[in-house]
Order: sequence, then structure tokens, then C-alpha cells
Amino acid sequence: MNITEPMFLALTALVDEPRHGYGIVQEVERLSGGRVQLKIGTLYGVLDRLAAEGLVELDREEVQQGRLRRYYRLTDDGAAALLQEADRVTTNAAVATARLRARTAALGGTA
Amino acid sequence: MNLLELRYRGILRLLPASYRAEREEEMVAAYLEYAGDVPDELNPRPRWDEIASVLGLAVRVRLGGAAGAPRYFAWGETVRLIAVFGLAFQAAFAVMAVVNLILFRDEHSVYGAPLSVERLASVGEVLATGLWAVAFAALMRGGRGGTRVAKVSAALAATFIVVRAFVMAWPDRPLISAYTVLAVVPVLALLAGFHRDAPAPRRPWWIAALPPATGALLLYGTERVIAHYASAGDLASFEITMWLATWLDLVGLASTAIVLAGTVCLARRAAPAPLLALAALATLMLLFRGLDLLQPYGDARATWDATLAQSVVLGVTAIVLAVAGLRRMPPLDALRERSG
Repeated sequence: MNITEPMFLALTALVDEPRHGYGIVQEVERLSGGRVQLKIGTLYGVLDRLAAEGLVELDREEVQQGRLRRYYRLTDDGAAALLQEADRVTTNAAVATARLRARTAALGGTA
Repeated sequence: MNLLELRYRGILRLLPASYRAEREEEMVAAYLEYAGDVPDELNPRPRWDEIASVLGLAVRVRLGGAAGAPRYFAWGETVRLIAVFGLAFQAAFAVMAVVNLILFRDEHSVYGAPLSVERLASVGEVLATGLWAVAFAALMRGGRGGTRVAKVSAALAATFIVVRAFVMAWPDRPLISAYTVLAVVPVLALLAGFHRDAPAPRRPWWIAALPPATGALLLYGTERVIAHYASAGDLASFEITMWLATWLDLVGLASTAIVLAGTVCLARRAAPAPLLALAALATLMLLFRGLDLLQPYGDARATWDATLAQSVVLGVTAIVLAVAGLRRMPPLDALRERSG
């Protein structure tokens, strides 16, 4: 399954605790250093996709000031998928970094 | 309910009612938390990027991927099949055009003096036909990259056709010709149907080559048959030639293929998507032939008869397939239960 960056960040946002929709948007923005700002439409498309694959599930519903809040949590499958994707990205990044260092060294650049 | 909430709920109406029944309150709550408390006096509106994200979601829900509700998946498959068949048609035409170009280089290749508008249009036409073939091959090859290449190539080819139709009709109001519609509709279907949640299986290369190659071969064969009868010289042969020309040109062959495929699908109790996609294509072909009927035919009675016959066949096919397809659409139950 193809995990996009918004999906990856949404899963990461749910690792430590269940969150509601806007809570996920805030956490994703924080995790990405302000770079990724999910729109509500995008967020719910991501949640639909993650829920359909069994990576997240509904944790609980609350009513706050007359507004519905649904909290979502990461499933075990979701944690496994996130770990697998993180490993994949880390491996690729390590290979790229190693090669770039070798290239810099070969060109006689700064250590 | 303040003004911003009212306006946001209005935008959410882009989403299907069943989806809204489950998600609307949650989305409104999340959006208002995000937007904050904006007084009505400031005439607040949702930003365009939020509207665009809801529109994108609406397309992905209504033309669902495999994870969506069965009914939306069926509509999604229908639109995706329209894109595939439409591009196959254009690709077959493109291969035929290239073959003609190679075989009859001096006569047909490029028109107009060098650097003239005609030359530019002629060269552009060759490039555009190439783009159709690239688009179809990339789409059949599949995967994320293939779909992206297909969208860009097809969009460029369709843009060329639309721009050229507009420029050639200038300064009169350009007619929306069947040719333009046949180019634009599959591209719109491609852009809408092959979204990020849609299945994008990878296929081997020979599947990509098969329809255009088959189409081009068939066309070459039928051109030889028509040429044989046309050169005979007597009236009976002339009439036969007119009938053959209507049924054996690209639109005629495509129409025959649609009718045959539709019959097979009906007999084999196929899913609704192929039936509805074939009905849509039959309608496009009908548009093409039907507009032909409005042209002055003069004494070419046989051609008019053949065109009328084909139009009737296409119309009946479109109606039968559409009715059968709609009846087989899965019912819209409540959305599948999400856990909890």
C-alpha cells in the first residue's frame, strides 16, 4: 500500500495518544515544523483511507460545546505499517547520505 | 449557526449525502476549530484551498477506489473504463495516422509553407496523435508513474485539439464538434477517475500495445477492402463502398466493437461498470454519427442510410446497456461500519 507523506504524518501523530480531527492537523503541523498544513478535506480523505486499511480506528466520541469530536487511535497493524515505512525511508536516506559523503570526500570538500 | 459555519456546510454539500450523514458534524467541528471564531460582520468565507480539498475528497468518494462503498466503486470503475476505452480509441487513431504518415510521406505529411500557421497546426497534429499513444501505453502500464504520465500526455493532446478548434473557428463562435468531445471526455474521465485512492495495477507492455495495434491493423485491412470496391466502378459496388465506409472507418469499427462487447457483457451478466462505460461510449459515437446526419448529403443516399442505420444501432445499444447497468448498480446501504 502506498503511504503518502500526509498519511505517514497522521499515523505518527497518533502514536502517543488518540486524537480528534483538528488535533491531528495541529500535531502534523508541529511534527513537520509548520511545513505540512492539512486541510480538513484532505485530513478526512486520509482518515478514510487509513481506517479502510485497518491502520486507525475510532477510539471514542465526545460532545464539546455542542460540537461532535471523534477521537481516532492507531491500531497494532497501523503501528507495524508505520514502523515498516519508517525503516524503508530511513534506509533510503542512509544510503543517499553515505553516497553524498563519499562524493564530497572524493571531490576534496569539507569533511 | 454563524455565517462561516453556514458557508462551510454549503461547501460540504459537494460530498454525497450518505458520506455527509456520517462525517458532516465532525468535519464542521474540526473546521471551525481550525478557523476560529470569526464574527459575521467580517463576511468570512472558507479559503479556496479548503474548498479545493473538499472538492478533491468529493471526487475521491463519489468515484471510489476499492476501499469505498460498492456503489461509488462501481461509478469509479465506470469512469475509469470510459477513460481507458476513450484513450484506446484515440491511440488506435494515432497509430493509424503515424502509419499513414510513413506510407504516404510526400502527399500527406505536412501542409502549408514552412513557418506558416498551417504547417504549425499540421506538425502539432502529428505530435498530438503521438501523445495519445503515449498516454494510452502509460495508462495500461499502470502504477503511480504511468498514471501521471498518462494524465499529462492526454491533457496536452486534448488541449491542443480544443485550442486548434477554437483558433480555426475564430472569429466565429466555435462549434463544439463531436471530434472535440471525443477528445475531451476521456481526458476528463482520466483526471477524475484515476485519483490517489483509485486502484492502479501494473500491467505488461504487450497489453498496452494490443488495442492500438489491433485497431491500426483492422483499419488498414478495411481500407484495402473499401479501395477494392471503390475501384470497381459500377453502381452496386459504389453503394457497397458507401456502406462499408460508414461501418469500417474508425468510428464504425469502434461502434461494432462496442455493440459486440456490450452483447457479451450482457450475456455474461457482467458488473455494471463495463455496461455503463460502453453505454457512455456508444453515446459519444452516436454524437459523432448523429451530427454527420445533419450535414447535407446531396445524392449520397447510400451513405446517409448507412449513417442512419449506425446511429439507430448505437442509440438502441446505449439505452439497453445504460438501463442494464443502472439496474445492476449495488444499492447504497449505510456506509460500511467503521470500527467502533
